[in-house]
Amino acid sequence: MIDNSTFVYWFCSGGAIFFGFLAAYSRNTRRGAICLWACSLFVGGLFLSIGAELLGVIQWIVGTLISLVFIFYSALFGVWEKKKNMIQFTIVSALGVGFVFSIWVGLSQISYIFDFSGTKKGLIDLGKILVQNHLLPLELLALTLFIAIVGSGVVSRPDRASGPKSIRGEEQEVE
Amino acid sequence: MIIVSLVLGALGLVCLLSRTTLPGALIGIQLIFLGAETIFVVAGSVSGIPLEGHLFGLFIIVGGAVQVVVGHALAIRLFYLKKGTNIGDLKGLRH
Repeated sequence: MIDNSTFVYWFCSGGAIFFGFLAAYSRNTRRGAICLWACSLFVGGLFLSIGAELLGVIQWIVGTLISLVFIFYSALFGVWEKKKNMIQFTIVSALGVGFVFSIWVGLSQISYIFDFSGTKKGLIDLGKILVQNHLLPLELLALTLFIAIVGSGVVSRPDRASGPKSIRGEEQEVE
Repeated sequence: MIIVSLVLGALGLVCLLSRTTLPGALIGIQLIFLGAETIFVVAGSVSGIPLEGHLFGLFIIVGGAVQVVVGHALAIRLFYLKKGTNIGDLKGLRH
């Protein structure tokens, strides 16, 4: 008899793979973004089933925000992609299958037992480990995010016209 | 159980290589991030040190958000210059 957590794990896994498949193969960017959102929701559910509650909730929130961004920009840039070259697409799909197969064969050499009962750790323990052992990576990540936000603002702004202009908009000579 | 993350990563790879627009490629990269994050969290649960797995999953989530920000900034720039977001037009950003 399958226990609840195992059933939820496999149900969420199946949902994540199904919507991931739709997101990867859809020609419509908006539909792909919605499928990506559904995939991230199922991944969050998967995390909940193995005891990663904080990560599951964070995944739901971040996945929803990222999908909203994709949907917004799909409205801005246009929704449809060009038709794919079927030969190239078949080769890439075969590459994906080969990727899964090769890593699966490699992993089958390692023996492991999945046991999600484990030691019960709470948010306090997570916070302690984050601050005591992984503070530097956390600070570097925050700095990276800050630089990325500032840099993306600089990259995405429109070009300004060169040279100073008078009130009437005529260009003036610079002495 | 790690097969889930492998399949998600493979789907992301297929999406990244087969898409013709930049936002489509970004969707593929997000799927790859999801696969990587899943493998860290599941491996952490298996190895008996779940908290490290959760922390690395958190780092990957934030990294994915950074990628979305930068990728869409590039897409906006490309749209200003070329009135489209085809990946082939990215070469034009050099000039």
